[in-house]
Amino acid sequence: MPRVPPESRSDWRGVLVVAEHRGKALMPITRELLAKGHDLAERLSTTLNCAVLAADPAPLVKEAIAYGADRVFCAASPRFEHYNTEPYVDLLAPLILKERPEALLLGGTRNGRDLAGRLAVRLTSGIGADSTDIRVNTETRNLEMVKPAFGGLILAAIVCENHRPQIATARPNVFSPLPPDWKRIAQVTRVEVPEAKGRPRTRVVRETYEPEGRARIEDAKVVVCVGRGIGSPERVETAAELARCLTAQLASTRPVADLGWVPHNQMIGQTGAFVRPSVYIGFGVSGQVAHTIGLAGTRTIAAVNKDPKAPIFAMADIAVEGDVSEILPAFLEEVKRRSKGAAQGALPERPPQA
Amino acid sequence: MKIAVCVKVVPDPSEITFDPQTKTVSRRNARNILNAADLNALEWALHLKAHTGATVWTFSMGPPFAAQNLADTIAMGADDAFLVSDRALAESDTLPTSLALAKAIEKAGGADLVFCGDETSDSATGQVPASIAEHLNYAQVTFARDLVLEPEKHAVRVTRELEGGQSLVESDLPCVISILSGSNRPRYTLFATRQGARASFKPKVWGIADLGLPREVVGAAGSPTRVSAVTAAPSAHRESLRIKGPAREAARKLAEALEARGAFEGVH
Repeated sequence: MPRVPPESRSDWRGVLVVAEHRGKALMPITRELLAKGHDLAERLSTTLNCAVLAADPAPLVKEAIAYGADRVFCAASPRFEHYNTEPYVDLLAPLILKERPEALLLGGTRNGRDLAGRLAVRLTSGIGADSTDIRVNTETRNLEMVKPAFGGLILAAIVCENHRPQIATARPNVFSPLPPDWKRIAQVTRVEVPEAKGRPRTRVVRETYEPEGRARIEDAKVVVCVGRGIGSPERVETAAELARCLTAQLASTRPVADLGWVPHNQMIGQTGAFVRPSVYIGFGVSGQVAHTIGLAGTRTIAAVNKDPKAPIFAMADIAVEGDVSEILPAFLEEVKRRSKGAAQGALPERPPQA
Repeated sequence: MKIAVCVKVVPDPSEITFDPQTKTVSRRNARNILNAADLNALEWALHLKAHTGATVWTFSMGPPFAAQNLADTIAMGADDAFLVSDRALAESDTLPTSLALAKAIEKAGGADLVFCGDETSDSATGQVPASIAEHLNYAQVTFARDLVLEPEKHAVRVTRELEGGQSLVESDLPCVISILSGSNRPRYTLFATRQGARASFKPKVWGIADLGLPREVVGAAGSPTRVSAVTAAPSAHRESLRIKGPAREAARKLAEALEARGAFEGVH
């Protein structure tokens, strides 16, 4: 919407989350946004809405309601089987201009960002991108969208005071979903999908996903992370073996991913994943802010680095000064020794985690 | 075939500092470099140029000194470069920025493909490519890991990388494509070649009047968003248990410390 003068701003009410899904279930990011949306809607004394565009919306609508939506707009069409920019924008823009939500929450995911950039121009409004926190001024009803910038050195608060809807995107694992309530009842509104005028300019040929069982780095409870100090792909393999022994996920910093030693989708940091494990053990990780910003939610951070002044030590609970090439294999042996001992009943019962 | 590549000049991320007293980011000691992902985008364009004889033009919005970095794109192999520069553009958010770049591409005659890096190292919003596509009314495909031209169909096949998967998309031209950072290795140019280009090449420089943009749609006036406050990121400081000494001992102490913190619950 072009500038919305203060006297018209009362026309814009409600929070809208656009759902991301892969067929039968909502993506975790959508459940997380619904939780944040629910919080904002409460503070603003307004409703939380969710837009579900899918070939078969029914199961997704149910899930959106269970995770907090007060009202769901659902659009059913084969053209929504996979995310595709223009079918989404062409349906959402008129819906938004009609329903006038004051805030629009999208995932800071690949598809979310694909959509946000186009929708913001279509609607002439602004985005607070990759927000790590969204606060609201209940007087002005303006969101304050906080995000890290300059590689994580600073936090910038972005506001979109005179345009509506205010658009905010947030990355996975920044917000936590509410526990689902499958007994919740909400209003469901079917949105008519207009006749397609010819085929869309972009067409999804096929989507392939990693096997269901493969864990996402975001869900890791234990992370073994390698930084540049790991030194070689061979040593990365040792770290991978350690990860297997610890039932952990192997992750890396940006430079290691760019070297091709660890797949990019296992990268932690500002341009990669945010993780919230119980344990993070970094080998040869120096601790650049652009990486460590992705670790903030970790319970116990351990780091091994030969530089006593490595920035990571300032945020580590356990700081091991030493040569990764010696300590990593020694630690792997130690872990193997302990688990063998445990299997033989040699170690005492561990107390349950507090 | 014409390929437009949008590049941004950014302060070298490893050389930026933040002064918590004055709450300012200092780029004084940071070299001005081309955003890393934009180099991946340019590399894709140059790769296509080698295979199809396409023309590659680079575009940037920035202060006058960005002309030097645009000269670097010529050194790499681009055929021409355009700089959008105007004081009125200062404090532009992504809406006027994408508009200015789109207008420049239009003024230069449009393109069949517009490549951009997926995001910048400084503001990292990742929105500009999609916004440019909307301003130009071009198709868009974002986060491309790989792409293949299909000239007979006047189309391009792009492999988009999604979280935990991939999407193979076929798009009509003209199309804006955002290129995944790290999806290729940008070519190396000799220092002498870069110096030569910097000495001899001057990009076309356009201001908002050249692009037909009134003041109200650019700069702070044309930006729906603004930065209302800047703070240092909260300290992530934790008190550390420090472990040193011979490797085997250090490894044992590390294991003990982790175990004491319940870290090995649920392992084997």
